[in-house]
Amino acid sequence: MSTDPLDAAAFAALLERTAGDILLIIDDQLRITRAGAGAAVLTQRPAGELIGMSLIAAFGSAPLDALARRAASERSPSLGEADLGPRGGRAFAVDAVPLTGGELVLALHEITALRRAERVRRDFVTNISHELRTPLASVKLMAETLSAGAVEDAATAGQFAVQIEREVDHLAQLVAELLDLSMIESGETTLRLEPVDPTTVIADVAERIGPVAARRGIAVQLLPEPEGVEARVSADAGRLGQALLNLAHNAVKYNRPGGEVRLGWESSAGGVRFTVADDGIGISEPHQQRIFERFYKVDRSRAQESDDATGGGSAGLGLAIVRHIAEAHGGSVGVRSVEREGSVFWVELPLAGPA
Amino acid sequence: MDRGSGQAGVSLGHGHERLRPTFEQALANVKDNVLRLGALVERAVERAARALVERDVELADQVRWEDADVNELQRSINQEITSLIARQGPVARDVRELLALYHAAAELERMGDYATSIAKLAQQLAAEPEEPIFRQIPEMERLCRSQLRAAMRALVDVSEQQARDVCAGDDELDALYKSVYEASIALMEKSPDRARQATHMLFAAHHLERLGDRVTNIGEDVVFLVTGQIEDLNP
Ligand SMILES: Nc1ncnc2c1ncn2[C@@H]1O[C@H](COP(=O)(O)OP(=O)(O)OP(=O)(O)O)[C@@H](O)[C@H]1O
Ligand SMILES: [Mg+2]
Repeated sequence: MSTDPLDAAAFAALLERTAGDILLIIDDQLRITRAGAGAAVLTQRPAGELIGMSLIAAFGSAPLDALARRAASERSPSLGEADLGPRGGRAFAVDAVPLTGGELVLALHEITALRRAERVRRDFVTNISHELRTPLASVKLMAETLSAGAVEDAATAGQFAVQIEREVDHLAQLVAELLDLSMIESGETTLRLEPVDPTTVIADVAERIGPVAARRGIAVQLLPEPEGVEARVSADAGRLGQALLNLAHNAVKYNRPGGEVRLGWESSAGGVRFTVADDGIGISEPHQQRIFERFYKVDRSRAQESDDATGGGSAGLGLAIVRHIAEAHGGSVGVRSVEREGSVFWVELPLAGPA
Repeated sequence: MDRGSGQAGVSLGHGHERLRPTFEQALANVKDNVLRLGALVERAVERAARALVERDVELADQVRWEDADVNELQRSINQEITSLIARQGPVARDVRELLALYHAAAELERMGDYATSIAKLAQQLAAEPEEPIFRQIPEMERLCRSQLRAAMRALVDVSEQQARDVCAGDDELDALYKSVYEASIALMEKSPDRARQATHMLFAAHHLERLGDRVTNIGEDVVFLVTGQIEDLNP
């Protein structure tokens, strides 16, 4: 309709800028006068049907409608965002530009993927800091013990030095793997899979959780390995260790005074099942369904109380990471628990194929 | 934030050559405003339920705050409708449409109140020790919203068939409500100290179930608009 040169130029500029976007033209009554094919998909109506429809009737979106009305009444461009599509599942940045003839051009630029990427990045940062905190806490603890006098005792000091070195190695490895972890988050995991001996993995975890458990007066017990079984799981040993350490950490943190943590593995239908058992507070049925979710904590105050003793923070991420890692291996996680008696968490991984 | 002014759709400035809107235009504007009301309510329901699940007190506050927009828009719809009937003496079919819209707007306003009540429950629950929200509640919310969307679409298309389909989902909603009821009783028996959480969740589910009934009423309004018959689609 409006063919004055300014409009044509403005419109051409807009078209250029919005290649791949959904363009709509609406009149001063907010009725659609032109609509692209993308609009048809978004509203699940043939494009022809959209002509003459009001914006609110076609899209049913309060924010989109409000934005267009603002641009129309103020006669100036307006920017905003709106969730559109059948269940509002697609996010769009919306540009509303008034033309001199009284019409409005609406350019809808999809940002669903961008939103998802933002969320992944945010979670990623939180995950990383969580992963760094646990080893840092152990190092700090040992350093404190040393400066409190243990340094005089050559045997203990030597042992702590070895432990500290191990944790620092672990930290260095983590930093080197930041990139890999971002891929776990985005679902493009690169695991360095190799045949791994379950007994070695379990022994390693026991050694790493030892100092933290000792500090809280919790005993760590290694269950005898199944007899006559020569199993190798297909795993990234570093990641698997990280997952089991998270479980062991919880088993210590949510234990009762004088309780025990039992680490072991057994053959199972899915391959090998690693188990981490405790005599702790347990988890009620409804919570069991949800503890593997990110940030989920059974009782915020309780999670905070136990923090100081173990040195670990309580972000509610430990189990989410365990599940990520298990699933990236094609494995699974689970829990059996009775309140006030204890819990058994397990990670099940497939066997390594014949070499 | 848009305050949902009732002036929407009436010629937006610069309309010097435009005369008073015709009856047809005025009717279309009323209908658009009812659709706006539906969109506001849908958004309120989604956010209220999200506030409940995520223990987001601020989001709940926003929902409560924005209910004023819903009320204001409904009031202005009512005014438009009554003044249209008084001034223009519309024919029978137009009166029917205006009545259907009037009634739908009233239902939507009530639905906004339920969303507000859920937001209040979200705030109370957030003050209690955390208890997992029964998974049926987000399910009920999704169902409610998709029914509401379908009802609004039936109104846009003036489709009797679509309006009847809207009501089909209502049984599922009732079943979900029943299962929340049982879950809360079980929770109260097992952990009496969680009784408050249990009753709050039960109330939230109750509001959602009522919301669903109101959506069904809008379906009935559309059927009335098309056929002139008043039918109970949710016997
Ligand atoms: N062994 C256990 N016994 C009892 N409750 C547990 C146990 N392991 C986990 N939980 C519960 O599950 C919740 C989630 O555990 P998760 O490891 O994901 O987070 P967290 O331990 O709170 O924090 P962090 O991110 O530091 O690990 C915990 O807050 C706790 O309530
Ligand atoms: Mg943890």
